[in-house]
This record gives sequence, structure tokens and C-alpha cells, in this order.
Amino acid sequence: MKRAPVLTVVLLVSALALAGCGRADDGEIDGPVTIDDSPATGEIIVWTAGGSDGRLAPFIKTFESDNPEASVEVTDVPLNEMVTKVTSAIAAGTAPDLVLMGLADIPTLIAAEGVQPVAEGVVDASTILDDVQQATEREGISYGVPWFVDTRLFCYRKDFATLAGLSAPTTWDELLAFSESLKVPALRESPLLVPIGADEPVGEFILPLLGQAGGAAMNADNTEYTLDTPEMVEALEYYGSLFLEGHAAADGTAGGDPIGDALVGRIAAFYVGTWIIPAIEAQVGPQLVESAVACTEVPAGPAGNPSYLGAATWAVPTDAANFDGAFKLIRSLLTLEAQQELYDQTRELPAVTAAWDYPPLQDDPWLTTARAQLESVVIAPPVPSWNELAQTIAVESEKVARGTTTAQDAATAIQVKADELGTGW
Amino acid sequence: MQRQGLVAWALALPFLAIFAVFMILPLVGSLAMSFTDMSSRDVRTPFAVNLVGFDQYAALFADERFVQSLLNTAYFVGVGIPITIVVGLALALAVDAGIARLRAVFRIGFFAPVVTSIVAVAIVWRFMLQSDGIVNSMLAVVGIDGPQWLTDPAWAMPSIIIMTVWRNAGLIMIICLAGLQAIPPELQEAASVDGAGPWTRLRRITLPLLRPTILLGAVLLTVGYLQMFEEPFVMTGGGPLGATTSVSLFIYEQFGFGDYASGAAAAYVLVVATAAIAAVWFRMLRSRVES
Repeated sequence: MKRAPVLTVVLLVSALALAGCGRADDGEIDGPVTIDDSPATGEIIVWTAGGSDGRLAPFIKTFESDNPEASVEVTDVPLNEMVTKVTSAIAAGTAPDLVLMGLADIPTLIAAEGVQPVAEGVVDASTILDDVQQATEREGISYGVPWFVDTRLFCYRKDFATLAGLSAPTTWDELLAFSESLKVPALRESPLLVPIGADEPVGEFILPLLGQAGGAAMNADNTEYTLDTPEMVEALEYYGSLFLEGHAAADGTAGGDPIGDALVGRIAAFYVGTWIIPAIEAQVGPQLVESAVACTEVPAGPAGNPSYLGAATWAVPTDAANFDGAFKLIRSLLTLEAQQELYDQTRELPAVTAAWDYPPLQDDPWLTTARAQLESVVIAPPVPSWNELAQTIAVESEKVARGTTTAQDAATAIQVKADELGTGW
Repeated sequence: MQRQGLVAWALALPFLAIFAVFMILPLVGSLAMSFTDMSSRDVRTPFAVNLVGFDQYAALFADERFVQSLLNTAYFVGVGIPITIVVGLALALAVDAGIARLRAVFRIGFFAPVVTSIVAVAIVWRFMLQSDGIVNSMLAVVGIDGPQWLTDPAWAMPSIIIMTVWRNAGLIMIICLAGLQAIPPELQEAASVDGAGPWTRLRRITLPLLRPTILLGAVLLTVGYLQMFEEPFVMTGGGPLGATTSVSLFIYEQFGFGDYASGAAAAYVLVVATAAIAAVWFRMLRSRVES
């Protein structure tokens, strides 16, 4: 007789206790704090994503030297796990003081009230590349600080192309012809490396195709997805044709190594971010890269050639214990000198556009191409539901690429999911 | 008696506390979560969620991807377990009877995959099964045009099953070896004297006496196979066309998207399925042991 009430209590208490673990006092976020010019103090816990701890290391040394009473502890987290880890830490009340993550993940944390507005005095937002700065904002308040930006280029084996008498493709049709001619020289049957499947970044590939076809994923004020459109159908048809006509391998990147695959000739061309340049050079040396690899702006569709733009973005969790130190660390990373040094250390393209006038960066042919591409870019829709919708786009795109559905049906299915998800705010 | 009882409870208290915090609380908490609409946006305000009853469960079964993940998991379990048991049993019989001299070497060799990192193993298999990987290269040498193991929806799950059988057959082999060694040799000798050949002895003596052991192996495999995650996560990412997305992988994705309530509901569907199948196995095990 006593068991039922006891069980009920256990159920309720356990559920409530678990749900309440690590809950913030009021769940409210105040406006931006202000930081002063005094040195940072205390321990600053930093989580970076995708191997960026190496990029950060030299700057930490300088920061600790300039702020002797502060110490920085950096932990690198796999890129795809970052949002889950940060939200889990927020729920558990163990959030770090500072996180570096992809620009597309920031809206998810804003919706969870998990990140603070950027403190006043950290950075002059007008100095940041406008496209990425806007994506960090919600209702006029910025929640993230882009550190460096990354746009996709079209890279190919220059020696293969020379052998086949080809120049870089500038349009969709030229790309198909380019690929057709390279089917023989490429060791693998399919010359192009294009992402396919739910575990690959297909959304980042389809978004630019949509832009190249003249469409956009959302309406002008980012309140509704607009994906069941003729432009989306055209983008999906083109994407599908890359696989159905044998231009791209059915196993996509196969979790593999595009750099290595390109260098051994398994593939002849791929779309990749500017991060690839130092990586390739580190593997084979600048001379071989110079002779074998070329990168150009992405081929244009009927409405232009926008490419995908991302940014490594700093954010300070709402419950950060040392938010003052965290914002001061960001400030130290966003000075003109630090942004120029970032280029020197990593050859990444700094988010502060004034740093692009730095003479060594001006003379860098790879980044000259990247800066030209930045004239025409698309970013991930700055809404929390994007990451989940991107998976649906990947699933439906794969169906088109394998010929199990039509582009029109895929676009319709994507829009149905988009309507179901809403923006996520 | 009453004092003894209190002392017993006091002694058990540390364990009970740990059990409650690390076992009961997450279980009950996630069950409670499955009846709400909790998502990542609620992590700082968990009491602001709405109770939605069984809506999450209804939505799950209306979700094509979840239904496909259920079917995929059923396929993996239904095909993978019998093959693993047959291969493991065959290995055990061979090691027990046929390979006397190097028994220890074979025993270790066949068991080694069980204790090898699943992630490392899956990555190696993925490279082996790539369209231009070593498996297709070897098939090409003998004139066979190998399939697209991991990118053809018809071949992706069989590929994962092959890898899983390779990895887990050693476990069944060890369990069956222990069972074989418990069979009194007098029974085999008596049957031989009566004229029973090896096949008859296997069917009439060895297999009936090994039934409890095999059922135990089946229970262990069922629990493990129903939760398959690393294999598709590493080898196929759940593709192609969702052909290898398991329920566990689906749950992982839901949590990754911040759909906590949906993930929790899917987890409880898996719990119920696991409990139901395990109950059937245990019932069979008990009835066989009793008989």
C-alpha cells in the first residue's frame, strides 16, 4: 500500500531535481557588461573547437605575459560536439569562461540564453566583416565576436588541368565540362569531391548553390524559410547531376582527407575553405603546392557565384565565472596588431577588415582569391533551427543525388520540415 | 531485529545514494523529460517546459527517420545475432576439438577483436570497404567487380554486420568454450560407443547441453546490438539514405539538435524494446534450464 506514494515522490523529486540541476538563479540575461582597462585576473577557462587551440597558443603566451595575475587554460573540443558540450555545461552549471565555435552555432546558444551580450569596449563592431558581424546579432545586440573568417574556394589539380588543356571553370556548365575532361586523369572515377549524406556538411554546399541559382534560404528579415522555390529546385537538380553524371564520388568525402586525396590524385578538384592552404603547404611544402594546386572563386550559376562564409567566433557563456577575464582576452585577440599576427601565425583571414591591408596579407595570392570571393558570399541562416534543418537538406539532397526522389519533391520535403521547425527563436 | 535492520540500511546507504544519483535519477529524469517539450533553449529555465503527455512518442512514430532507424536496428539484430552465434559456436567447436596444438593462440586471436577499440576497428574497416579499398582491389584481382560496400543502400548494413560479426564472434566463442568444457566427456564417449558419429553427437548431445550458454550469449548480444552506435557512426554516418541509422544514432542526433525531449522519448522506446526482447530470452533460458 505504501509503495505507490513512495514511488510517486521518488519520481517527482528525481525529475524536478534533475531538471533543476545547474539552473541559473533567474534565467534572465542582463544587458552588456562593461569592462575596464585594468589587467585581467584569475583563471580563464577556454574551450576551442576543431584544433584551434594551436592557433590560440601564441596569443595566450602574450596575454599571460601582459596580465601576470591571469592564467588561461585551453581545451579543444571536436567541432561537431561543441554545441552539445556547451549546452550540457550550461545546464550543469559548469560552463567555461569563453568558447570558440562556428558562427552557425551562435544562434542556438542565444536562444538558450547561454551566451552573454558582448561587453562594451571589447571590439568596435564596425571593424568586423559586416556579413559575419550581423550573424552574431539578435535584436541589435551582438553575442559573439568573429576572430577569423573562412570562405570556400574551388581548388583543383593545376597539373591535371594543364595536361587536359583546361582552364579553371567559371560557370556551372564549365565545371561539368571540366570534370568530364578530368575523368581520365583522375585516379578515381569521379574527379570532384562533393559532400553527400547526413554526416557531411551538405548544407554548406547547397546554400551557395541556392544563392548561385538566385534564391535564398530565408526571407529578407530571417523570419521564414523559403526553400520550396524554383531556385532551390534548380540548385538541387545541379547538385544531383554532379553525382548522377559521375562527376562526384558517391562516398563523398568518405570521412577522408581531401588534401591527401588531392595530392595523391584520387580526386582532381574540391571545394574547401582557405584553411586548406597552410595545411597543404605543411604536408608537401609551398613549392609543390604552387606547381600542383590552384584555387579560384567558385563557379557561377545563373545568378552569380556566392560561396559559403563561416567564421570562428568567440562567445562568453552567461554563467561564466570569469567573464571579465574572458572579454579582456577577446579584446586582446581583436586588436589590429593581434589580427595581423594571426595571419602571420596561421595564414587565416582575420575578421577585422583593416588587418587585410597588412602588406604580407596583401601579397598572399591565396588570400587575394579569398578576398575576391568575399565580395559574393552567403552565410548560414542566423536562426537556431538551422543546424537541424541542414540535416534534412542533407538527407533530401542525398535522395536527389542517388536518384530516389526528384529535386522538386526534395525541395517540398525540406520546406515542410522548415515549416515544422520554424526559426527556433 | 529492528536495530539490525537499521544497521543494514545504514550500511547500504552509501551504495543506495550512489545508485539513486547515478542510476535512478537520470533514468527518471529522462523519462520525465520525454513527456515534455524540452529543448536546448530550456537548459537554463528547465521548469518553463510544457507537459505534452505522449505527444513526443506520437511524433516519433510519425517521423520517417525514426521508423527507418527502428527497422534498421531490427535488421541488424535479427540478422547479426544468429550469424554471430553460428560463427562463434563454430569457432568454439573448432578450437575445442580440432585445433588442439595451437588452442591458446587461436583463442587469443579470435578474441582479440572483442577487446580492440571499436572506433579504431571501424575506421580500418571503413578504409578497407571504400569503393577503391583493399577489399574491392583484391576482388578485382580475381575478376570480381566488388560492390559499393558503404555507399550502396543495399550493401551498407550487410557490411556493418560483417564487421560486427568479425568483432563479436570471439565473445561467443569464449562463452561457448566454457560451456563445451562443462559437458561431461563421458556422455560423448558413451554416444561414440553406441555408434553416434560426430554430427549426431553435435546435434543430440553438444547443442542441447549448450543451449543455456547460447541463450546467455544471445542475451548479451541482444543488449549490445540493440544499442549499436559506433559502427554506423564511424563507418557510414548512418547513410547512405539512412540505411544504417540505428535508434541510438537517431537519439544522438536528436540531442545534438537540442531536441532533448524527442531524444529521451526515443531512448525509452529502445529501453522498452530491449527489456521486452531480453525478457523473452530470459524466459527461454529459464525454461530450458528448468527442463
